[in-house]
Amino acid sequence: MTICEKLRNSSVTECAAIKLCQSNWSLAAMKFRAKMLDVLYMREFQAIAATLAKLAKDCVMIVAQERMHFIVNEEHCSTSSPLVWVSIASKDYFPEYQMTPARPEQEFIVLVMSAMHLSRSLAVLRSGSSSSVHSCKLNLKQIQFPCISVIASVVSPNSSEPREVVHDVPVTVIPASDWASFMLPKVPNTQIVLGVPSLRLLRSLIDKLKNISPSLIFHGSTAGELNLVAESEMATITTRFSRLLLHKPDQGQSGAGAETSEPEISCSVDTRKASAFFNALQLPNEEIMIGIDSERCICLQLDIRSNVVLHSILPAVCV
Amino acid sequence: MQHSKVLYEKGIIKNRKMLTQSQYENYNLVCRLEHIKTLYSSIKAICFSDFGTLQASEDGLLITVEQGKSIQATLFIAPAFFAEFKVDGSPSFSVKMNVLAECLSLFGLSDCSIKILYKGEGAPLLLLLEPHDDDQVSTECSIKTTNVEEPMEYDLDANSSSLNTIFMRGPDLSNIFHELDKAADEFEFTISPLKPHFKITTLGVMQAESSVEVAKSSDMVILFNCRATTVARYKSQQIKLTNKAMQVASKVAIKTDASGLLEMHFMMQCDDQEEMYVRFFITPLLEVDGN
Amino acid sequence: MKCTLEGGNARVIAKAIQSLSKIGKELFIEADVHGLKMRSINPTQSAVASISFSRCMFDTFQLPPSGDCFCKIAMKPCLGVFRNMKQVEYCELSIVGNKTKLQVNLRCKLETTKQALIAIVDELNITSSVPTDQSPNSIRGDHKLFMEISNSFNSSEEELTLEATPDSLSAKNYIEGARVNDKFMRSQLKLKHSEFEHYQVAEGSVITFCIKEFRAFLLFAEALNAAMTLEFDDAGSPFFVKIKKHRDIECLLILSTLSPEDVSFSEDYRPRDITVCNTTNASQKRKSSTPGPEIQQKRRLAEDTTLSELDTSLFQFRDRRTEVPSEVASVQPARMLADGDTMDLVDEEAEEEAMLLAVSDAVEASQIPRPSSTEVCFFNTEDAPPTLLPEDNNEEDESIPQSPERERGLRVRTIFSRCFQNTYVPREPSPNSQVYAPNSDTED
Repeated sequence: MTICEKLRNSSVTECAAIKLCQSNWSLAAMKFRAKMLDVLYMREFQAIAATLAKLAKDCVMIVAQERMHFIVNEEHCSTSSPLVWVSIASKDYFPEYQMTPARPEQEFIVLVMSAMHLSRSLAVLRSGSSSSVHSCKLNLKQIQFPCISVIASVVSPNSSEPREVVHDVPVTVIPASDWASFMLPKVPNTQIVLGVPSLRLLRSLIDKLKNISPSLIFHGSTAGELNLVAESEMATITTRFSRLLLHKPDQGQSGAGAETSEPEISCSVDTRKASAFFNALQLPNEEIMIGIDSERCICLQLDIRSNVVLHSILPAVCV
Repeated sequence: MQHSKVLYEKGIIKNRKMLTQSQYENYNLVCRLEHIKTLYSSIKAICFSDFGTLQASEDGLLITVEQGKSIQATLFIAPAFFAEFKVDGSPSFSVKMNVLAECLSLFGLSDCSIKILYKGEGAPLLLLLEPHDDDQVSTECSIKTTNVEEPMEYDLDANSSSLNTIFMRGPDLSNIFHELDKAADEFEFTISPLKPHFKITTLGVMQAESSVEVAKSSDMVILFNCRATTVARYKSQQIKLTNKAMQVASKVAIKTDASGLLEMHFMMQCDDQEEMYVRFFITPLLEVDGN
Repeated sequence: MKCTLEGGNARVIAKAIQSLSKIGKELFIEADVHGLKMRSINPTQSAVASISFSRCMFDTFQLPPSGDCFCKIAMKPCLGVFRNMKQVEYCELSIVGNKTKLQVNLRCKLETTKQALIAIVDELNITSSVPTDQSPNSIRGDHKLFMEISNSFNSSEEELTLEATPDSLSAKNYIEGARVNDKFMRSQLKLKHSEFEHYQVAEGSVITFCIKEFRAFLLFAEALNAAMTLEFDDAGSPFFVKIKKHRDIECLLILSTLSPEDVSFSEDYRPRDITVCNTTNASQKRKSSTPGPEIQQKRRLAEDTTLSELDTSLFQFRDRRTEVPSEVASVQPARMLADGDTMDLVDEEAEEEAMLLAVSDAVEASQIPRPSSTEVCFFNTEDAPPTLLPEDNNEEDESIPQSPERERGLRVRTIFSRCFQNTYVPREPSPNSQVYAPNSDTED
């Protein structure tokens, strides 16, 4: 089973669990509190929040027992941000993690908040900062309106006393009746998945190509090659990434599935959208997995660590 | 053009004109550079107009950019600058400067080697880029070329009795230019054998006027050759177009004569590589009053 | 006037100008027997900064035969001259052209000289006559500490609230207990008194002031690598920020603070009990586009000075053009004025206008509906103040009952519904704007 399939399955089960809940509100209280202690995990969590903040104004936070998900999607045509979602194994980041949904049969707490606020509230955890952070707590609270209180205990290099830095990120609690609109997207079924190890080059390349052509063709082959083509009246630019790791189709398992894979698949996407995705990434990863669903979409997947994954879908454009 | 052709045959690339044309046997121009940095910063330094003209000959490669009839910049690259330089005849053509600059910077700060190829009239200009730190990646750019527009001829009379020449250290002069008041409309350049030797005055700023002077004995002055005082005014915007060249130049030459035409040479050099030169011509503003 | 100083000191003056430029658009320069003073006042006149350099910073210091001299110049050209001082070895400041121009000569390295002539807008000066040494609370700390406090808040923040208790200081971007906009992120930083070099707070006090001018001043403290002292009394009375360096440089920033009147706060807005006597209305303040609270804040300033037993206004303006130095035109700093020409206003007029403003304030305040508990959709089910309790129990949790009703379609955007439709092909129109067929997807 490839990572993609595993993920798809897991998200399908979770999505299936989100059912339309009819009224009958109980007054049962919803609770959420979590605490991070490890500096590296805290920095990673901050980097994820910073990435989301670069992509959209608002982000959806879905809190489940085992996982925590973030989704950003600017659906307005004027912006060129793609759909991005991140799934986190809660226990990895939060040794203390406690969530109680509004009703016992519900599995989630769904919140919407400003991505910028979330990112700023965690900024003190940033890797570059000179202060050291002992712990960082997230706590769903009611202070005039619902908030996630982000409470960091910080020791600055100029003093020995720990300080408490608190940010109350205002959130909107989404009732179960509206969850259908906030479901986690599925990873589309792609015909080919290639691992590209040069994320830095890819980022700078796509950033420049957006000034050349509004659309960008991803052309992948089972021979482990990816060509990026930008064409305009003034120039044609073809970049080849070769000797890439082929994650799918899996050469070992031939004949898996009805669709016998074609050796070459291509899809063209909005260059600005692609560039927005790559420019937003604040994580130190150097490898990205690029899946191509022929003329339907490009799926991007960044494995932050084994249980922490960032996804994006760039839809195809008509050329 | 290996992979572009393959992709064209598969229908991925649509624009046939951008492929190298088979009616030509050989390339008219082939040149190769191991490091792209100096070339890129020099192209950026003259990237102030839409189109630039490339002219190649056995003396090297020239790229000229003009704006109106008042400012011209030319980049000179001698054959010795290239790791490989072959030219057949004297091909010349125009390309869009910003496209050329974007292509040279595709890999951002990663250093690349570059091969520049041109087959002949109507054929695209080809750039092959390979980053040094990743041998799995390569790029082929083909840039549309158009017919050449003859650049203007500017000249300072070398025998004129009023020809003044100053050579200065680039970074020091760059500091001075950088600090000139950005709100000013015009700059007045004074070069004279007596004090103030070299002076720039900013004009047209509300509630303030300022000037800067450099004595000819200053360590930043490498050569000071002045026979008669020259004073001329220039549009500050045009002077500012030299900023990018100034920032990377190791040495700068300033020449002018009684006509006021300003000629500036910038020696572009990065990391002990061979140098290339950028030359600017800027025409003076007409004297408004009788001063 | 003519004075000269060497490069290092000139760089300090340049830093001072850069800081003052973030406060006001004009620079007031005064030279007297003690040395050189530079001042700036912000457009709403809620902050005035003064930086004094003693005579010993200068190599030569010549005053005109008449004694002291002062002038007002525009900040912008001045900033241009003092922008980059790295190369400067020697600096000469003089007033020339029959007091019409300030001439700055900078002798730089590499035999380069720069000269600038800045027009003198007015022969004008500002002084303030608020007693600056009677505040009961005083906190001194390294500039780095205050820089860290300032950096904890977003640069777009307009006000900062300091909650001082005898053993701790909290810096907040909101006022505890006051209603804030539901998109507003409350931030706070809690510091123990031991982090400061000197901490003297007898009783609790809460002050709210504009952070912009404070930050401008902090920049100068950083440039001097000096400690900063905050002195304050209570909400509504002036707040003083002082920097001193070797007795050569003395700086004072006077900031008005938000008045404690018209407080509208509710226990609903408090997550926890805080033993603080003064809280102020923030729901008005947050809407900073409305002039109401600003004016109120200014109006308080005038009253403050009465409180401080000096029947004068905070800022006095001396106009030397009239050559009658005894006739002090005192201006109500209470008011927002369109420009800096407040000096020509007669007191009575100002008072009258202030009264009118006060009336309009009162009307405005009465029109603002007080939030009642029925408006709050979410409420605390646990009454206990959370953070005062020990860490180990669950009391720290806030329980949020699911909201019984919400307006549909207002906040909820359909995010991914399309992705789950079987017919959905994730194609979108080309950004080329070439649309070949109209979009047939249905979106709810």
